[in-house]
Amino acid sequence: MSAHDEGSIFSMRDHEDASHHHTWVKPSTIEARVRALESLLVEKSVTTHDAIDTLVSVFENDLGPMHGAKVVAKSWVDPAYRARLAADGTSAIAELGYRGLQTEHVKALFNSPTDHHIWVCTLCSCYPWTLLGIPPVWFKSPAYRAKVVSQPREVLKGFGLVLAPEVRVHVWDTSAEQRYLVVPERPAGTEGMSEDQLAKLVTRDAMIGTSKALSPEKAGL
Amino acid sequence: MSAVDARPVIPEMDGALAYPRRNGEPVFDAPWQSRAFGMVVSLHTAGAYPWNEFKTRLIDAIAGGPSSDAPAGTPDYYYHWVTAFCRLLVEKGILTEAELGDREREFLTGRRQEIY
Repeated sequence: MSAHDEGSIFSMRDHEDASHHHTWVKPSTIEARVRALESLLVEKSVTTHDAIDTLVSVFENDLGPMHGAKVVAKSWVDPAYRARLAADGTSAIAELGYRGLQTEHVKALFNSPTDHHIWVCTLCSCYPWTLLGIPPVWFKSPAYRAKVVSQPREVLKGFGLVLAPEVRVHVWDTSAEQRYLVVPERPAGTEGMSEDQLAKLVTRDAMIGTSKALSPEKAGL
Repeated sequence: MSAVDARPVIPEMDGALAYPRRNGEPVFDAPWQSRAFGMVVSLHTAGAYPWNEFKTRLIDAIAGGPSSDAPAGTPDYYYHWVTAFCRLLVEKGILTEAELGDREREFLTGRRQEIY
């Protein structure tokens, strides 16, 4: 588990301890200062415990996928953008203002009725977090990392995605220098939807390649 | 859903100000870091100050050299973050140094244990 996961668990426990009168442990100076800040700011109604919680959770879990989803949605509605994304993923993504990718090359992989792309980091857990946020837990599991290379169709089946035998499956191995973004096929029945609405159909899994984009019904649109 | 709406509010930070990451992921090494992060962004989104006012103080704090509060060998990004935040709150008149110092001592001595 990564440190941020532990962080969220502890911060929750921290809060519970405070309200349940467990044994007192002397805080460090910085801990005391941050507790002082939080208690004073909440007391003065400048913020709330929930507002802080929400922002932390957004930062830890949801910050990225929205960015990747916007890239995909734009490529669905704008053929010229799609061409630029295909030619140079990093630059096309930077056009939308998503930085922090200077040292990484992002290659967009376009799914089609004949070809399905999926990527993995077999070595560690390299992941384009600015685009996709925090990686899902399974992404780092040895089972996924090992199996997706040798039996991608089986792995996809595990995700509930069954591909016709004639569809070619391409597995890409990411690294610190080379990142991937799967552009799923645009779902049927989405003509006339705005880019913002379309972006809601694009899930993190769809951009890794373990699922398709959502139908408007599934996305609640 | 509020989480969806909240996404664009987390300000981008580049270069020396970039949020700490491990394996490319944003990380907090301790609960206090996530609380400090949430407070700064929360007050900003509530309109207490433009992001730039926090940013310039964070730049100053980082430029001031390694934080003396951080144990040796520990990343001090969020120590600077807290320093910048305290300075901003005092300068904005949201808190006074005295009340912050008093409350901090209450937590340090255990006289106060509950945040709320």
